[in-house]
Amino acid sequence: MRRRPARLAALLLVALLLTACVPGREAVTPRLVTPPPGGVRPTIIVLTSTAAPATTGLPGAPTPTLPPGATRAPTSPPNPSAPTRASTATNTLPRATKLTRDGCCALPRWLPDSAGIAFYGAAGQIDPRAGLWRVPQGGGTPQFLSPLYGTFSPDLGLVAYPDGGVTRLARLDGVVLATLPNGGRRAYLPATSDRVAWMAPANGVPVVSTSLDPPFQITIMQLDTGAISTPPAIFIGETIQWFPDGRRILVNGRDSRAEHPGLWVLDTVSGAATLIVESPWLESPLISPDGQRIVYTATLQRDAAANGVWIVNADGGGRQRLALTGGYRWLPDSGALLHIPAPTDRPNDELWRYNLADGARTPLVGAGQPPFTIAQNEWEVAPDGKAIVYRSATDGAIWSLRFAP
Amino acid sequence: MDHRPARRRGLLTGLAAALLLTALLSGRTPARAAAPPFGAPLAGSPGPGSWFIGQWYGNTAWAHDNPYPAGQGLHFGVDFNTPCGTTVLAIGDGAVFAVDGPYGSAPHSVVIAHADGLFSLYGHLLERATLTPGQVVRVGDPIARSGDPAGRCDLDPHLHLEIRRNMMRETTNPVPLLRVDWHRATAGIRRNGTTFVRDLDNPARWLTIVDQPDVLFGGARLNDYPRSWP
Repeated sequence: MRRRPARLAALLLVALLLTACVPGREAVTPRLVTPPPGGVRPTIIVLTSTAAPATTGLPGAPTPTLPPGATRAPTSPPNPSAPTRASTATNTLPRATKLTRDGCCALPRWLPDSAGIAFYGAAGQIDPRAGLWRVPQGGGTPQFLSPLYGTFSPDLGLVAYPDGGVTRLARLDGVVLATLPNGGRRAYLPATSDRVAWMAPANGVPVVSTSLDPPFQITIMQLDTGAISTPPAIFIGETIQWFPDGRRILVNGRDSRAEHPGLWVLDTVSGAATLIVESPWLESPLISPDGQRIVYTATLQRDAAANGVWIVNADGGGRQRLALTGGYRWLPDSGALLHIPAPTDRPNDELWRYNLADGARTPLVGAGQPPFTIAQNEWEVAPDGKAIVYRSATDGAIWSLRFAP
Repeated sequence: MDHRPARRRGLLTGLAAALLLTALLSGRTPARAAAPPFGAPLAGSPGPGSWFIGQWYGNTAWAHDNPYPAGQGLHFGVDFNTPCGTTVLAIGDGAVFAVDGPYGSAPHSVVIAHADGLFSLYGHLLERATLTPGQVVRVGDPIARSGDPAGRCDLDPHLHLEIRRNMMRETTNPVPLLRVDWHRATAGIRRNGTTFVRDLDNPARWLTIVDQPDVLFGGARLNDYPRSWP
């Protein structure tokens, strides 16, 4: 009897060794499901609305401080008591339209008139070309626009695409208008389309941590003259965004020593860099269409109540936390956001409208509706504000979702 | 005299040895039809204050701009952004294979050997873990505290999780292997680490959180595309 544990251990050892020596089973090599060669016949689903969950309170926020050398931004205290209320379900029934084959395409974006959607991929039933395609918002046969892909001007008339050690700025028909000496880096076109910016490496500035992006300076090229300017501010950060005025640029990052993290506004004419919110780990900033405000998510804050979605004026004032979570986009009038709550334990995504003036929240797509799951945050609001387009995590196709008028 | 405690220790040691031998001799991954074999390395739900995915495994935009030379240019783990000091959990039953071993992911790391030849590596830890090689751990056991790569906690705090195999020489995508609600694990946050680069000459490849290649350490770079976006 006393020998049983030792025998048991020996048996387990032999069993495990035998397990190890068994010829290999199927390896984990995930593959994309090959879409059927079917066409792009639009699928239209009328969704139903559901009731709203309760809103949450609005705790306070840390006060930003001013780093040495930065311009002081006007400040105003956070407004933790901004009104919120959840409205009940509306009678609107959003209409979902499947626009592409499963898994063929990505990066959907609206055409300026909301009449159609452009996206990247190989959408053709017969045409094998990969590139930029367009399809009517109500569905139809996709049309090939261009083999070029990169940063587009808001009217989709221009594209900036990397080409070896340079970036070309071209019309969609391929006519090159300018060549940017930027190492083939991503170029950023403002709404004014009269200049272009990129993030140039700040050579000689030490890298503080390999897990941060390398230091950079913003370089701007005027498209009519080809004149290049480089404001002196050095940042560490991931991406930049033009304000609609085509003059200021928002940087989510740190200074060259990896200090003073937060949201910076660079005036590309004067060269002044202003830290409008100082806090580490701010994510997903989005400038409002009118350029007046910025919405962002504060993460991993020491004060747990400071985590969440915030809004701030472009000059740093009027900062307040919003009673919403998850991903968000501005509506064209800059008065409201669409947002997808996260996290949630529900099987499908939801879509809500959040009115900034009074905190009213309106459900547009509820969790109990047919599969509405957005892949990797790929969704955009139509210029008319009455629809979204998204890539589905369920079937990998691109869908539009139009709300009732 | 009762020898049961000593025998129990012997039994556990035997089990640990078996797991290590299994991990070393095997090199296979479980069949995909089964449920993911591993749990989550962090407790609770994703959110801006708890944890969220800062970078996926594989062909990320961040890795394209800042390629990882050791890992064929790709990000060969999943980054869970979380405050320094967050308790890290063992994702499965196994035995401690290494503590601060020569497997990167500074300043501190832990490797656990599992059945089926898989190893889980927990990187950028706050401090040296109080574990010893050979020690048996169970799924959900606290094994360490999270930190950040620079060891200062004010830059980029996150847990880096890898799944290795083939005697630690390869990594594979953790996403199909962990029971995590990945769809919501970014908590709505979008950054370069949560988007994938499109090889415009091969536009359908490596663009989802599941469809990502294995990485062979020392192999040729995989994400140096002539035409790509972003």
